[in-house]
Amino acid sequence: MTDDHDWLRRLWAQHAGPVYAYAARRVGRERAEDVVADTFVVAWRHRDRRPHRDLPWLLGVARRVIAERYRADERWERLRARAALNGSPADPADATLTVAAREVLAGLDDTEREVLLLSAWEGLSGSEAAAVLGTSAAAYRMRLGRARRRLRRSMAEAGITEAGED
Amino acid sequence: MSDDRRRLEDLNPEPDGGAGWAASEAGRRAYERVASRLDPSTSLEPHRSRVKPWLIAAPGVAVLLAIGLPLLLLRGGGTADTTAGPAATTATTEPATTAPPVTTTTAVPALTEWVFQGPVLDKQGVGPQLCMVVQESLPPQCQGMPVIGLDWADIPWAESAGDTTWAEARLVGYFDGETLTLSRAPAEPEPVEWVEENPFATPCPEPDGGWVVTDPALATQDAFEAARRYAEAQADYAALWIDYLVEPSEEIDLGPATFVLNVRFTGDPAGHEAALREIYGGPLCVTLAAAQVTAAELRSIQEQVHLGLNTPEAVAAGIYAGHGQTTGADELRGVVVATVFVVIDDAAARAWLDAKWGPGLVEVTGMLRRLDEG
Repeated sequence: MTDDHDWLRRLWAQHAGPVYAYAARRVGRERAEDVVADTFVVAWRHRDRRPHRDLPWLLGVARRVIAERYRADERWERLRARAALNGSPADPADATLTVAAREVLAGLDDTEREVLLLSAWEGLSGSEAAAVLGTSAAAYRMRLGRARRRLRRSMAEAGITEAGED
Repeated sequence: MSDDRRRLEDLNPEPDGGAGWAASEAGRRAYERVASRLDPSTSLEPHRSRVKPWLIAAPGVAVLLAIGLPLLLLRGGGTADTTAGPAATTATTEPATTAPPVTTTTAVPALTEWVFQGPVLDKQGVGPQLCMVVQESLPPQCQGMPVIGLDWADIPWAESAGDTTWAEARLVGYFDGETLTLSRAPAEPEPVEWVEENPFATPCPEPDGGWVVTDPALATQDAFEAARRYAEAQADYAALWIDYLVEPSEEIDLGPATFVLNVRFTGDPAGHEAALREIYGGPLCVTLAAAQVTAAELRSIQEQVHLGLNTPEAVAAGIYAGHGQTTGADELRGVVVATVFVVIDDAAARAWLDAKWGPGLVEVTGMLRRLDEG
C-alpha cells in the first residue's frame, strides 16, 4: 500500500459522500454511483496536480464527468428535468408551491442553475464554487448575483414569492 | 435569509449531503470499482509544474465585485462584464482589428514550449483560437490567437452550439510570433490557485473606538455620492474605493456604516480629509498616493499604452499584442496594467516599458507562460 493509496482512501472517506450527493442531485441516485467512481478514478490519474482544497476540485471533476457521460446523450434533458423535479417537500401543505419552485429551477439555464445550487445545495463558499466551475471568485459572484435576480424574478412571476427589489 | 434562497434550499433532493454514503454498502461497492481501475503506472507520470492560471495572470490586478454597489472593477483581462457598476478603474479591450497583427520572429525562441490555459473557441470558417476576451453570448464569441493542430476529439468536455465549438483547456505548444502550434495533447484546465491577498484593505489604522459612523445625518447614499463627487473633482485625486467591514451579501443593507470609504490624493491628505468630513459622516480613510500619479494621469498613460503596445517597437521588446490586449488603470497602486498574449522576456519588456512611460508605471503580462517557468 503506497502513500498514494492512503491518500485515495482518506479522500474517499472524507469526500465520497458529498460527491455522491452532488451527482445524485443532478443525475439521480442510480447514476450517481457511476459518477462517483469515475470521478475518483480521474482524481487518481491527476493526483500529482491536486490543489490544496480537495472538495471543489472533486466536484469540478464530477461536473465534467457528468457532462461527458450524459450531456451528449439524449437522456440528458430527461435526466436533468427529473433531477430538478425529484425529492419531496418538507411540508406537504407546501407541495404546490414546491412543485412550482422546482419548475422555475428547471427553467433556468444550466449555468445559472449550477451557480445557484453550488451555493444553496452544496453549501460552497464563493471561492470554492468558483473552483468547481473553473472560474474566478469574482466572476462567480457576478454570475451568482445575476442568477439570483433571475430566480427572484421567475419565482415572483410564478407567484411563489412576492416581487422584491432587484 | 431571502425567500427565494430558502425555497431553493427546500428543494435540495439530498439534504444530508451524502453523509454516511462513503461507508455504506453502496459506497464500499463503488470504492472497489475505483480500486480495480487504478492504473499504478500513472504514478510514474512526471510532476507537471503548475501554470499560473490566466484568470489571475495579471499580478496585482484584483477584482472587487459588490453587486449593486458603486465601486471598483479592476481587471486586466478575462471576460468582459460591466454589470458591477461604475468602475474606479477603467479597462479597455482591444480585440484583433482589421489591421494585420504586427509580427516578427527575430525575438522568438523557437524551441520554447508555451502554456495557455483558458477558453479556446472554434467558429466554422475561422478556425480555432485562444481567447483573450470572450463574449458570453450563445454561442460565445472571441477573437484571439490562432492555434494550429487542435483536434476537438482530444477535448471531450468541449461544448458546441450552431457553428461554434468551445472549451476551457490547457494547451502546450510553440509560438512563432503569430500562432501557437500544439506540441502536446490538450488537457483539462488545472485548478485555479487562489490569490487571497486583499488589495482593498484600508491603509489607515483603526481609530480608537473602531470604524464607526461619526455623523449619522451624513452617512447616507447621497452623502457618499457627494464625497465621491468632491474627490473626483480634485486635481490631485488618485483613487477611491471602499473596504467592507462586513462580508458583502445581498442579504444585508450595505450602507455607509458597513464600509470604510478610502480616498487617495497626490497631495494634502489632511486638507482633503477635513473637506470630506464636512460632507461625509461614515468611516473614512484619506491617504497620500505613494506613486504620485493622479487618476487623470493614469488614464492618459493607459490610452498611450493601449496604442503603444501593438507596434513594431513593442514587438522588438518581445511584447506581442497583435491578436488582442486589455489595458486597465489600477488606481490603487498607481500603475497601468495590460495583458497581451505573449511577453517573450519579462526583463526586456520591463526595460522598454520603464524607458517609455517611467519606472514601474506600466505592467504588461503575457497570457502564455513558459512551460518550464513553473
